[in-house]
Amino acid sequence: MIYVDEMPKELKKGETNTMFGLDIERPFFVVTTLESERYLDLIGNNMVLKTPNSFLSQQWYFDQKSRTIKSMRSKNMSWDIDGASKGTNLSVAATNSYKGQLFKWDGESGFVNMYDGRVLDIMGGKDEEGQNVQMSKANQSKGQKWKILYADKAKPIQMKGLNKKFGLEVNRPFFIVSKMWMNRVAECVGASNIVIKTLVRTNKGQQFYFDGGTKTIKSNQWKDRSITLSGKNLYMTTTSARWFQLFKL
Amino acid sequence: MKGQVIEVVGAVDSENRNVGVNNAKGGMGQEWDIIYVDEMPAALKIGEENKDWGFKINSPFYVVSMKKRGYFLDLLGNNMVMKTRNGMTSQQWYFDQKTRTIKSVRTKSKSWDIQSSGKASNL
Repeated sequence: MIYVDEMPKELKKGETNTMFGLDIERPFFVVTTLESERYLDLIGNNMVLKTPNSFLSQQWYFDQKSRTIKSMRSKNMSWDIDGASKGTNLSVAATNSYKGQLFKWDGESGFVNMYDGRVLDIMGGKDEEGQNVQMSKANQSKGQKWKILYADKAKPIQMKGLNKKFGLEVNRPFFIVSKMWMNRVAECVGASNIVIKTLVRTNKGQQFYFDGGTKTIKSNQWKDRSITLSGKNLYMTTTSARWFQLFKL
Repeated sequence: MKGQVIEVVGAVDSENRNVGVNNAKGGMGQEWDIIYVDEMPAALKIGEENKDWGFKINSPFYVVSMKKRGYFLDLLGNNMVMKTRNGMTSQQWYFDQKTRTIKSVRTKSKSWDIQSSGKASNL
């Protein structure tokens, strides 16, 4: 029982909810401690591991009212254990503050479900693009270790210079030149298919650049599109930063 | 990021040939240069040498046999033969940078060509 005049004030934005271990409404990334340091992300509503890509689907915040962790991409959705918390898979679902949606941040144990004590776990501990994230019993493995990186403390997106991981200069247009005898260059035709054609220096459809935010190779003509692998063929499709759009030199 | 490499499908060096991916097998079809636009070398001009091909661009030349009589490469119709020097343009050739082919000064739309799409022996 708390007398009305002794009821603590509601916590404000930016203050820490010590019970949940998170700052209120302060966007953050969830970063694996595996070698790649990939981020927790969404494919559809499912939680996976992905290369940092500047999309809001990689940002989360603690909502004081619902006591849930919400997606910056879809603010009406919260972390949610499938099957009304009985399942193992983790996704986002409409906020309901039910037990499958209540998580605390415990730096030692990572993210822990308040009711059953299970923690966020990278399936099989595999440090791969798009690897599924689920709930498991705590076992202290590296696949369960995470870091929180508040967005206001994150490094700004690289806008120029060499991205060492991908081997390409950021935002610097280039030609992809075949070493076959005619030295034709890759060209995206009609914002879709990629073929080799004779070099036309002024043709921006023949120019590509590495985007520091999404880590994809974009067309200098159709800047909303990135080189995409589909089966054995290459296309230009709308940038999603999924594994089939990530290429390194 | 899954280990496959970009290739020209079938390693066929032709205009509008599709670009795809495959397991790394080596070969020119899988070899590329990334050349930043601001570092792309200027196009070669007439008279400059294309070092990859060993010719000066658009500079007419004769092809002369090293045998005793020193015949010149010439055309009979479209067939290539050896003939005495005669001053005709059918004995003159030049390297065309755009198509990377050796063209006839007599018929500038035509290039040296191994018959049957390169499968025969006649030229």
